[in-house]
Amino acid sequence: MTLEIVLMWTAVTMYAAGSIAYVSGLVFRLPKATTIATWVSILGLVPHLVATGVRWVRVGHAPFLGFYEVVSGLVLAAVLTMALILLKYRSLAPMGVIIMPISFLTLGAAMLAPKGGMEVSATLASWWLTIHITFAKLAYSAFIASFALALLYLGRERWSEGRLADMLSKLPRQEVVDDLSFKLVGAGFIFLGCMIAAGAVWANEAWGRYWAWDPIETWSLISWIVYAIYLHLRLTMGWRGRKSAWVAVVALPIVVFALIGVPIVYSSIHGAYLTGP
Amino acid sequence: MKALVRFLRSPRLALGLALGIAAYSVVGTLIPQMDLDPAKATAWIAANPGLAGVAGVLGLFSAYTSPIFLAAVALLGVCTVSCAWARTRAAARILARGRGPFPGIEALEKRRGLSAGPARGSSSAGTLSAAEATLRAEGLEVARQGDVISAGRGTWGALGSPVFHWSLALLVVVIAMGQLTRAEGRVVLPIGERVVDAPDSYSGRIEAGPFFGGHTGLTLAARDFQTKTVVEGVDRGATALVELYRGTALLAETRVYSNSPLRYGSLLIHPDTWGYAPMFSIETTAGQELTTAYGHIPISDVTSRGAGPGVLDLSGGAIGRARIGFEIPARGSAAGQPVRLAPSLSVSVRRGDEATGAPALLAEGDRAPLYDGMWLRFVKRGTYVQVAVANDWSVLYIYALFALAAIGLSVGLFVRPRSAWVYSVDTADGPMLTSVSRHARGDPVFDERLERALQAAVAKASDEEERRT
Repeated sequence: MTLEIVLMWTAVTMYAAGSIAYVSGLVFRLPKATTIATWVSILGLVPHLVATGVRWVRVGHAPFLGFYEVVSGLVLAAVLTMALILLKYRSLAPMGVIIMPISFLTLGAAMLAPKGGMEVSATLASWWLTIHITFAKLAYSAFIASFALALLYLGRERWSEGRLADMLSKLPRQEVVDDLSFKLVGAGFIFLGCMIAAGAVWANEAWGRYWAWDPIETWSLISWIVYAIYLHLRLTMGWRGRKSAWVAVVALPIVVFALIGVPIVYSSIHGAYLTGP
Repeated sequence: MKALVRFLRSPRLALGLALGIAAYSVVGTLIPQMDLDPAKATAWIAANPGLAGVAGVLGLFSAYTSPIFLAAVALLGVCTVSCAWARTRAAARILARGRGPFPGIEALEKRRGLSAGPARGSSSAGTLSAAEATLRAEGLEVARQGDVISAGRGTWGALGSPVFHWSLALLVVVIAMGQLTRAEGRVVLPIGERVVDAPDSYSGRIEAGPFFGGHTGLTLAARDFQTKTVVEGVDRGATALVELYRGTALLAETRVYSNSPLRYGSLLIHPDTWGYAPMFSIETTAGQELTTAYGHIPISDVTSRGAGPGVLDLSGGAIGRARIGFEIPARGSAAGQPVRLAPSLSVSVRRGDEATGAPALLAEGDRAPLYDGMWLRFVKRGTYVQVAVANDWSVLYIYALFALAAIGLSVGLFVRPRSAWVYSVDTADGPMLTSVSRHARGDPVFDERLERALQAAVAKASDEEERRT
C-alpha cells in the first residue's frame, strides 16, 4: 500500500469514527461525544489533505479526474466547509450527524474505484479547468452544508419534544439556521453560475463553442435553475423556514446527480472526467 | 396594459417558466437530439413509434431550439425585464431616500422596537452619545439629528438585484442575437497554401444564423505542420501555425490546438483534424498547366493497408467532369509502430461515369495520361489541417454580462440594506434607549446586533456617569 492509500484509509477511518461519535452524541444525548466527533472529523482532514497533495504530486494534476479523485475532492470540500462553519458557529456541530456519515460512505465508495490516475489530455490542459473545478467544489460543498442545515432545521421542528429536542436545543435559533442555510444556497448558486461560466469559456477555447446542450451542460443548468427557484421562492414568495428547508433538501440530489449520475447514465464528451476516455 | 405588466412581473409566472424550462430540459436529455446525434435519434424514433409522435409534436427531438423551449425562454426574458424594471424603481427609491428626513419621536413610538436601559444616572444626551459610539463599533454608519440617531449600512446593496436582473435579461438578448448572426464551418488548409474566408472555401455545411452578415474575406494560411506537439508536458497532437491575412498584411498567427485557438475580432479558429493532401495538376502534353487541385485523406482513414481512398471531383472547361480516386499504399509497419506510407500514389480516373483506364502508381512529379490529350501530374503528397472557423461577436459580451450578473447577485444576496432609528425616552430611573429597525430579507441577527449595541451604550453611559460623580 502506498503512502497515499494509507493516508486516505486513515481519513476514511477518522470520518467513520466521527460519524459514529456524532450519531452516538445525538442519540444518547452525550454532548462530549459531539465535541469529540467534531475534533476527530476535523483531524481527519489532515490525512485527507496530505493524501490529496501526495496524489497531486504523483499524477501531476489536481484531484479532478476519475471517480476516485472527483468524489474524494468533493468530500474534502464538504468536510472543510463544515469545519469553517463550525469555526464561527460551534453550536452547529450537530450538522456533522448529516455531513460526516455521507462523507465517510462516499469516500469509502471512492476507495473501491480504480486509483491509477488519468492523464491530462490536450482538451483538459487549461487553466479554465482549474477555475471550473474550484467553483464546482465550492458550489457543491455550499449546497451540501445548506442541505445539512435544512435537515437540522426540519429535525428540530419535527422533534420539538423528547430526547432529540434536548440535543437540538443547543443549536442557534431556527431563524439563524434558516438564514445560514439560505446564505449557503446563495453562495452556492453564485459559485455554480461561475462554474458554468468557466466551463463555457473553457469549452469555447477547447472546442470553439461555449454551449452545446451536452447532457452534463444541460444538467448543470437544470441544477442552477432549481436553486434559482429556491431563491425566488424565498425572496419573492416569502418561503422561509420549513418550506425553504424542504426545497434545499430536495435540490441537493439533483446537483449530486448532475455531478456523478449524469456521466454514468448518459454518454457525453464531458463524462470523461469521471468515467475515463 | 397595467394588468399585462402585473402578469409579467408576477413571481408565479417566472417560477412556472423556470420550472417548465427545467422539466423540458430534463426530458430533452432523455430523448436523443437530432442536432447532436441524428443516427441515435432516428434509431430511437424507430424503436419508440408511439412516444416518437408525442415527442415530435412537443419538439423534443430538437428540444433546445424548439419553438416551445424558445418561447418559454423568451417569455422568461420578458418577465426578467419587467422584474428588473420594478426592482430598479425600488432601488432608486431606497437610494434617493437615503437616511431620509428624520422622523419625530412620536412617530417612532407608534412602531414596535427594542429597548435597553435604563441608563441609571445618565442624561438622555449622554446615553445617545454612548449609543452613537457603540453603534459605530458594530460597523454601522451613524448620523444624529436632535434626539434621534440613524444607524445603518449597505444601502447600495439595493442595486444588486436590478443589476443582476438587467444583466440576465441582456444575457438572453445577446445570446439570442449571437445565435442569429453567427456562422461556423470547417475550412481545409493545405499546408503552405492560402484560402480566403468565403463560402466556397468551407467543406461541408456552414451553420449560419439567418442574419449572418457574410464572411470576412480575410485570408487563412497554415504552415509549419507538426504531427506531435508537446506543450507544458502535454501532447497537443498534430498542429500547424495558422495565419490570418488581410491582403498581404499579417493580422494574427497562432499555433492552434485545443485550448489555443487563433482569435481575431469575432473570428475564432480551432483545430479540427488533419490529413494528407496530394496535389495534382492537369496539364497538356506539352506540360502547360491547366489547373491544380488538392485531394484530401483524413488521418482517420489511415489503416495498416495505407491511406485512403480519397476522391477529387474536377469539372469545367476542357476537363469536363472527372473524378480522380487516389490512395497512398502502406510501405509496411512494425507492430505497435505508426503505419509507414509509400512515397507514391495509386491513382484511378473516371470520366463522367466511366473508368478511363487501369489505376496508375505515380511517384511525386510523375504524370499519367488523362484523356483528350490531357495529363494528370502528381505534384506532391502534402498535408492539410482542417480548422473550425466560428464567427461570433457575442461571446465576449456574454462573458462580460455574466460577470456583471454574478457581481449583482453577490451584492443583492449578501449586502443587505439594513437601517434603524434609535431614540431615547426619559423614565424615572433614567433614559431608556429604543430602536426601530428596518432590515431587508429578515436578517435575523441585525436586531441582536442592535440590542447588543444598545445594552453596551446603556452600560457605557451609566459607567461614565458613575465615574463623573
